[in-house]
Amino acid sequence: MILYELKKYILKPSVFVCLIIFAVVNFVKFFELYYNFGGGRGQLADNSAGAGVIELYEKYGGTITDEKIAGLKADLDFAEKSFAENGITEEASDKFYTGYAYGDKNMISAIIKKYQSAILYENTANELSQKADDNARFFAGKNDYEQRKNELIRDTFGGRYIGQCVRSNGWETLFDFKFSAILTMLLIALMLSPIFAGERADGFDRLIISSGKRGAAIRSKLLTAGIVAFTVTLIFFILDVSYTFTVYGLSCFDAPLYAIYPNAPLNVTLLGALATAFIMRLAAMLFMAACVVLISSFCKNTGAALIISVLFGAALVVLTELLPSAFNPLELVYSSEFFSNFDTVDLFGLPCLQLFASIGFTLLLTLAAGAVTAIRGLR
Amino acid sequence: MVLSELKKLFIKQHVLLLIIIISIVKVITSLNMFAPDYNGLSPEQQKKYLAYIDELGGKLDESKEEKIVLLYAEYQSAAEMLKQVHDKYVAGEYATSEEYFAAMREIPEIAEDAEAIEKLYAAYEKISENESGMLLASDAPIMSVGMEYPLMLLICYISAAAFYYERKMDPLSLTSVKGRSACAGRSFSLFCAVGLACVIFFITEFCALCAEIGTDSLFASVTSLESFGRSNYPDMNILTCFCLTHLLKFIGCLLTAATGAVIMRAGKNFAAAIFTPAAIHFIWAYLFSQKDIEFYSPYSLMQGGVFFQGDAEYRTHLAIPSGQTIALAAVSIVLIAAACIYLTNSYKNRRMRIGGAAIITAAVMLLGGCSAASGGDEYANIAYDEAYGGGYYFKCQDILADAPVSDSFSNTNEDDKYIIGTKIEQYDEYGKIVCDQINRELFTNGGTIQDISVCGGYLYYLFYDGDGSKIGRISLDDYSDDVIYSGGYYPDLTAYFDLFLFYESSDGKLPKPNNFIAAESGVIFHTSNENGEALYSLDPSSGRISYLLEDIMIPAYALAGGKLYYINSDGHLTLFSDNKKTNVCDGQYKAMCAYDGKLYLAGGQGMFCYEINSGTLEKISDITEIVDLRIANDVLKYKIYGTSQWEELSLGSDAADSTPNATETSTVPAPDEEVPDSSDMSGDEPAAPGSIYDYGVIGYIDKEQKHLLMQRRLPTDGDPTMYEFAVYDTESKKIIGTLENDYDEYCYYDDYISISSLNLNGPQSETTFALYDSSLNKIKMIEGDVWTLPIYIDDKDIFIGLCPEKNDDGESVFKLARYDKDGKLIDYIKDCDTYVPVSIVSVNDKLICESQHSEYGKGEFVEVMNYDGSDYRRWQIFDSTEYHYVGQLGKYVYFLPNLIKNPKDGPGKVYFYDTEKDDLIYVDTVTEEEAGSSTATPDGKYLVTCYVEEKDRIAQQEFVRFYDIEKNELVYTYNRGKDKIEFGLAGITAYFDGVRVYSRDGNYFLKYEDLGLY
Repeated sequence: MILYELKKYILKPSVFVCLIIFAVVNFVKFFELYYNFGGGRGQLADNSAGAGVIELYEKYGGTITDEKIAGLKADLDFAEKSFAENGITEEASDKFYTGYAYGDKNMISAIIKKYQSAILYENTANELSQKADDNARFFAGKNDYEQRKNELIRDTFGGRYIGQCVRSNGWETLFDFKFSAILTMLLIALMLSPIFAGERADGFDRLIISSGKRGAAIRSKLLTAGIVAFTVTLIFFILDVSYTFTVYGLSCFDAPLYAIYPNAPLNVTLLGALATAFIMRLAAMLFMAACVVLISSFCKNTGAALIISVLFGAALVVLTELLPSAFNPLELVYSSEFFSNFDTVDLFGLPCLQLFASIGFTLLLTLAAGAVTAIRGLR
Repeated sequence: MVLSELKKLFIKQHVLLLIIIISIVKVITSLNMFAPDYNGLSPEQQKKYLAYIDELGGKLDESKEEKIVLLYAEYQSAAEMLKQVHDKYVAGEYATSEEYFAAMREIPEIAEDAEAIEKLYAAYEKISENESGMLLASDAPIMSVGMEYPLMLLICYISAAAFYYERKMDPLSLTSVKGRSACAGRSFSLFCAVGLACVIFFITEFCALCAEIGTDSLFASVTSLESFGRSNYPDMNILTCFCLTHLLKFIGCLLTAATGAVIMRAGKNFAAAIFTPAAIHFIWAYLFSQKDIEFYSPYSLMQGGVFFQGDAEYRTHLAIPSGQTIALAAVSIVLIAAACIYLTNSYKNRRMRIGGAAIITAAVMLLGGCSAASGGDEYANIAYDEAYGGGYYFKCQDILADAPVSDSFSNTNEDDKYIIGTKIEQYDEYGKIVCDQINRELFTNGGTIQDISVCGGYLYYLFYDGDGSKIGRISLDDYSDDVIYSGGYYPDLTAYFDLFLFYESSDGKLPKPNNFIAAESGVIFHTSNENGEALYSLDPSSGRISYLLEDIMIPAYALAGGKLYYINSDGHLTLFSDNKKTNVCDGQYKAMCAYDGKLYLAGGQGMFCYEINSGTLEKISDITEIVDLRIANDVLKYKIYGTSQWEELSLGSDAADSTPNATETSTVPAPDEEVPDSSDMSGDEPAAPGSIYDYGVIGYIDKEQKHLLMQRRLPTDGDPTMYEFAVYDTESKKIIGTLENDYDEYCYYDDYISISSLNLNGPQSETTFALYDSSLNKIKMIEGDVWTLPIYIDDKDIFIGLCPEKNDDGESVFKLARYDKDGKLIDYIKDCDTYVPVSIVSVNDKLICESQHSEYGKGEFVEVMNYDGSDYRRWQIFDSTEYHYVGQLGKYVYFLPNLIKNPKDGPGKVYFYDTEKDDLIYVDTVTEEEAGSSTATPDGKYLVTCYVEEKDRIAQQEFVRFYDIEKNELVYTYNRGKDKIEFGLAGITAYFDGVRVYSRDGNYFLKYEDLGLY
């Protein structure tokens, strides 16, 4: 029956056309952001600098070693001396990675800063862990939640260590890119609006009810909605990753997440963070799918279901500004917000990472919407 | 009928079982409920304290009181001895440790019982005035349990269930002759169920009470209990209070039950009948910030003890008046009775539509909330880096480090240490530190806390980091920390999931707080916007902000009597209420604070006290130049312009108790009384009072150069800043006229002087100046149009001045203009968009202007033109923007810099306009820095500069140099060599016979004759 549902509502030429158009729009938006805010304008005008940056990171990125440190210092000395002698030059030179002494000076200094941050992070994290431990003792007997929260911080930050220099702008852009979520929501609304409303419009709902297969039909529709949400989310997520990989380059998948976000609440690698980001987005899109299906179960025709679903999606987007993060399913799309801050919520006195609380709450809402849909059914 | 209804409710609908379960829960939780609380005493001190209580506790009599007082006196004496020994030890007065220990051994042992005795005495003081008071051991929160949530939920359920399951019997009731009595019986059963639960709770708590304080103490005054220490019923005994508390709770429970039953009956909606009463208690208590709304609601009777405590927990800190308590109880009884009547007749009612249930629900919800927000009688002033509240003192301290935490936020202090954070220290009323750091947020990224304020059991703070400003609050109960508002810079690069791109970032997506005040009713914060300054109110619970008002400037604001007062851009005290602004009293002010029914205001005329209720304004001090006021711990503090420390003024005094500590900034200090004796000095002459040497020289006001205009700043003995002008007649060698004025803007030409009378403390919207003759007799006043720098051209009977206007873009532009003798505009001479004159002199029918570039920092210029703007010439005399003195001495118009902020190494230039050559000339000075400390002799022959050559921040050599202006050469250098001159030079003034040099370690006079210059 799932296959039947897919064939009837999902696997249609119009859906594929929309998918392709949206994929192109997604790329255009990605590129627009890169061009205006990601340094694309400068790099495309003069590609030598861009290639030089890549070369620098290939040479000095990854695991930090003494040889790399020595090499960086030597390159920086050379760039500084050249800059002191010749000042800012207008013609590119092969002697420099970026083509210019000034560019090399800045780029190498930036990498050195990353090295320093990475090397010193262990101290920073341990200090934070110590302070959290002090706080836990301070709050003992006064505030159980704060005590537990500080113990959690102590345990999370204790023993952290960064041994790599990660080129972060690609990762940050990827975790920050939200436009594909809008497209995913639109596609879900488009694909799933007719799932119940279409049956009503065609009069098949009575047939299904009288056939005695109402339950099975509803279950298959719900499962179909889940599959659609998963598939579309996966497609756009893979597209985002591929755009980022192509434009910015992604590396150091085994580096810890806190190499990019020092206050990250999770001790996972960047690959793990990628998976987490996907799960977050999937949870949000499953919620959207469940709501669209619920709306569809109330509507008598597909058009109405689609319009209401789109309006609902728009309202959800606007509400991201107004609702507290923990109670806003769509906030899960903002991966960078969750990764960069150590936020917890108070769940009956226990500190729970906001990330997990949001995912849990969203899944609860999704289940609730699904349950209501299942109960309502095709009535 | 009643019995059958009781049986149905208790047995069939399992209400009895539920009551038993809730009662068991109550008993179990009560085991720890009244656990003794000795307020943080260590175990050893607890033992000592209990030993004292055993001996001296219970009902107080004379002998016990005497013993307690003696004990405390003995302890205080020992504590004083201990302190003295400790101070001596810290000061190093003990030669050996044996001496110290010997001194310690002499201190009585009672000093070790400090905590126990302090606690005992504090408990004694509380009840000493009350004859029926008893000294009880424990601080347990007896009788202040408050809302019993399980009981409340139980009542909500059983009241709904009692009528829900009977709905099918309604048709039967309708046809039965006993229908009414059945409903009445059901209602009665419900109330019996509630009563039973309340009785069980009563018994449980009574047993716990007796176990804690003993039955002997039941008739002691209720103020003997820690939680009722401030009770507004001191004469009531504990047993009576206990009974009344539970009576109120019982009434509250009945009301809740009646509400649920009515909603169930009316709406036939089981969920609404359970939800609505529960919602009233839960949601209204936690989501709405107006905590005192609860105590206007009959449903708050369920809280019980709070109506007798006199300190409604941490909310209003006010006692709930007895009248209010009685009124609430009466309203509740009326409502219960009405509900009973309705329920009794409800079997006849047809099912109401949803609308009816909704209306009832809404009405009940409103009743549950009840009343508008009371504002309360609160006073709140702008937060500072220290705060008092809840019996504690809090102080912000910077946390310093050698390196910043983040690049975006790297402030340093005066020792060049990076400020990486702030800690808030908590002290008790004795100044003893209670907590080294109450703010425990870990992820601050180097941000700092700017200001703090304590209110309603919370410490509110303003936190500033690279992202903007945040307002947070720390609970003084458990030190939990929440950010309640974040405002600041959010680059609008993207919005709504990258859907809309803004290529230019915009500032201030949310208003960024600059400072705030915290009050019971919420937080009010001040922010800047494109129109000037604005005030917003902030709801601490929801974080929502509401716009209140805005003005060009809001120098001060405060809450008094629950209302918002502020000083507007005109300096007037304004009340903001009901969205209206009302001027409250006369006068113009710059600073304000609120306290105890009064507003304290500071302005140009002194310090005033405005009584809010009576509306009277009274002067309390003549101190002026106050820029800031605050009340801290019942002490009024003020800060004078130009100083950094706070002075104190005791309230109630008619005059200031302390003298202002203003920094003397006059360029013409008062005549010195002592002159140091230096081996290199050629001689000095103390200035005679009222003589030319009292003043600084401006320039000649006439072509013949007979009348020399001078000026000085008058000493500020409690008066506003005043200047005195004087005209010196060089022929009679006398001062022929003086004038006191509150501003030093002037122009002169051809024996006429125009002096502005601009009130610095008032609005900058009017210019008033007066025209004087050479004896400083007033000829006339000119008021009205906004213009400045007026020169009176006598032979044409016109004024020439600078006129500001607004262009189409709303920006200020200036024009040189001609005005008639009454100050009415005739025509414009020249636009001054780019070069704006700041001083004008007229010589030989020409205007010589010293002008600044309209873009600050782009230079200073000299412009020369005829009266009609023709023959215009311009020279640049300085690269950046400095203030210059302009005047005519001899044949030169001088442009002497007041101060050169960033002098370069190497020679400098001082410019003069040569009136004979009609050209600009300059004099090369040895250093650029000395050009900023220069003057010219009255005959215009010499430029005189003073300069200190510094080494290692200690002045080594002091130079006074004389340059021949015409020849542009240095002709004489006076070197006041000293090994150490600590403060350097403050200024120099040249007179006819010599030069007075104002040095911080003593002024001196150099005669030209002695220097061989004339």
